[in-house]
Amino acid sequence: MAYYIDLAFNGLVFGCMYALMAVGLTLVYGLLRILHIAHAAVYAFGAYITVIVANTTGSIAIGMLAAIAAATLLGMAIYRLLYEPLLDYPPYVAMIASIGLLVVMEDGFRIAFGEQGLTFARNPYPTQLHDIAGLTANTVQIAIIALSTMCLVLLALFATRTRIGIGWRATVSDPRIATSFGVDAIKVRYLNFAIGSALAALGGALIALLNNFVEPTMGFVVSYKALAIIVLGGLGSLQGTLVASLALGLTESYGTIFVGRFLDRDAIAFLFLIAVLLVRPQGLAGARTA
Amino acid sequence: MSAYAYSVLAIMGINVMLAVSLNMITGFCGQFSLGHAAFYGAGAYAAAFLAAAGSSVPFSLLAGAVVAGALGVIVGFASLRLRHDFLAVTTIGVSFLFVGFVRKQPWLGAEMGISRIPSSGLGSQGNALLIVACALATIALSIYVNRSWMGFGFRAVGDDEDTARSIGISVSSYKLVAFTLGTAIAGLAGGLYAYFTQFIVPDSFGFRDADGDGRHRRHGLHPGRGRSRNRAYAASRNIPLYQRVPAADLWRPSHSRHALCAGRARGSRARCITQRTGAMNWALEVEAAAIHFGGVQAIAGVSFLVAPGDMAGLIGPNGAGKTTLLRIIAGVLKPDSGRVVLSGIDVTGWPTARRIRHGLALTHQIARPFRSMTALENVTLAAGHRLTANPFAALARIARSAQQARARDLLAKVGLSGEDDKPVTALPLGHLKRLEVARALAVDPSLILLDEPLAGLNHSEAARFVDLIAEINNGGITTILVEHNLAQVMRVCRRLLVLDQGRIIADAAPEHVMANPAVREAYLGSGREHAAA
Repeated sequence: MAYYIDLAFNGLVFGCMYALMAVGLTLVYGLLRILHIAHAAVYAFGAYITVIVANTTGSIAIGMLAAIAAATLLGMAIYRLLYEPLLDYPPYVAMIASIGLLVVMEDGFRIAFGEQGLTFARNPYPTQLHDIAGLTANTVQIAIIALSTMCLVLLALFATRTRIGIGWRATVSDPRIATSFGVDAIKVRYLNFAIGSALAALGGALIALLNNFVEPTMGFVVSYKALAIIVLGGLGSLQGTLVASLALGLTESYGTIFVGRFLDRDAIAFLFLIAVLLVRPQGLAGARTA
Repeated sequence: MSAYAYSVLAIMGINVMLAVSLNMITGFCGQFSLGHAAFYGAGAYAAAFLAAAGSSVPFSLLAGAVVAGALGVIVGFASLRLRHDFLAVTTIGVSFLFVGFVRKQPWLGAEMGISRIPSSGLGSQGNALLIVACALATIALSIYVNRSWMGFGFRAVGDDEDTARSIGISVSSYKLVAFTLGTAIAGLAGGLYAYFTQFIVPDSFGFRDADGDGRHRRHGLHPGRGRSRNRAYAASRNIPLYQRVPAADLWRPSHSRHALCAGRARGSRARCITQRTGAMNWALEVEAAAIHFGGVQAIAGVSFLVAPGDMAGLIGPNGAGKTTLLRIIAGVLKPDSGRVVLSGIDVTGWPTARRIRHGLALTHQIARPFRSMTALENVTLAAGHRLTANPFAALARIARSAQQARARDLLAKVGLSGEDDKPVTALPLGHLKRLEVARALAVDPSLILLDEPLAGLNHSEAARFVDLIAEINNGGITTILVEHNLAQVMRVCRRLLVLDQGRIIADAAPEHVMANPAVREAYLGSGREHAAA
């Protein structure tokens, strides 16, 4: 029994991780209808900056803050330099450019920091174990759950309680009408990329801490899994994305135990995606269109 | 040539096969597929497995193509249910699923792959030449498909699925054929690759390695949509007069209807016979049709009959359910209850495309032409509706001159002569509406449904358009006209059906309907409000 609870906890940790990644993708999709695959590069970028700054300054906290700040800028730069010039083309053009950026950035990490990846000089957290009501968890796992919950709650409050947040949601649901009500749609796009990228960097930093390791290709599978999540969630629905993140985390966690002999972890995730879509083609939270 | 040069040639050939086969799915048919590597891999694994088990080269290659094609059919079925981006991500999923699956299969060598693939016995030169020959054959097939009526149908599906259905094209069969054909060729390429390297591992067929460099995709999603060669037929302009359909026949589709009727499925033959022996058959019978959306009863038990050759106007205030009723008749919406009978045959469960082939035609409220085509191509494609009904039959046909001649006549009839070769994106709204009508007529309908054809036209355009509709009706085509422009409707319709809140509140000759108090109330509100206003 305890074993299954451990699995659930593990699934929850991964679900929170996926949520941090997928929120940014959902935001970008909702606004621009682009499948922002290079989001995974932002995630890997966040992880690298965390490790490098932490090793230079000796403080993991400074490393994470630096990563979030740098990734925010990177996200806005990606919008300005990569997507904005391509907005007039069909969406797959931007998507292929996005895949291109992911590949280029992966190779960039490889050239700049080496094929082997990097580790923290000092990272005691993954080995600090806590016993919570019979459940064994390390500090990073707890931090992932706590920080992601906190960020998503803050995001929800921002989106529902502040003027900027309301203008932001209005733009996501209908850019033209929001513009006619005086919302600056361009600023909203930057805001979107800034928030999404900051969350992705946080996710990258936490995974770097959890594994005590970063490598050039760390974003690759996550990127496609995050795509699977936003599709599962119904494309553009934040609630759906969160539900799908947790569902996928749990499915993978249990799936590797029960069907791991036949399929690897990634295949299980996508099998889940395909199975759900065959039953609900509009995703978990998507509205059925008449 | 050195062995290295041959290996470069072989890889080029395989890439050509992958790109060209992907182009059949994405370029021709407009289906977004990013999982092509999985089919390539499935073909390679199937061929490698059989080859290692001792089967002959041709059999292994064929089996690779069949396995990949079978997988393609499955993904094709999924594509019928999924919208654009959902499908794109699902197909990415297919490639992850494939690699994740073979990686865990001991009988396929798991992580180590299959390394004991026997030589094809052709040598490196023979292998390379075989691959190049297959690549050339693939290109030739692709060009042929594009020029055939099947390719024409693919373009229609890629352009606008609803419009394709409205000219009788079975969109699902075309998508399935595109997926099957494209993936089977990828599977063949996989088998050739297996014989070429004699060693395959799961990672060779991952999403990344086959697609990550963007090479295949760039071919596959060329913005020109791979139809440059499609212009060849444009040369066949001067069609001899004797090949043209006599103008008088244009409006007399009954002969074709009977032909269709005779060739129809066995089950309905009895009804066809009663029709021919002169028993009264309504052009359209709607019986107690009802549909609701959420809590709104959009159509609440509507019944009416339309006699052959009649011209009925369907009017009613906004939200009365007119368009919904049309969509039920057209088969776009499935009613919760009730029946739709076309020329004596119950078509309630039929999809739109099949109803079209049974003599129905419709125009959309908002003109929706095939955007990648010229005006003439739009109508030509519709005129070939018997050829495109079955994708495989369509593959066997290339000549378009008869359909083009018919299309030219129809375009002239609706007043669009001279616009033949213009891309439809260059046509103004009034002309697009006329094009909709020409396209609808091209399917030889016995009943035509016109959904607000006058919307957006100015007064004189509307008057001319209504004259055109009346002329069509005079030619014997039963017409149902949904329209807001009452003045024009009153001018031509012999009968008015008034719909309000999902019910028919009046059904009579126009002058009687307008005198009906219930109709006045539905349109103008109650008398008191009217007086106050």
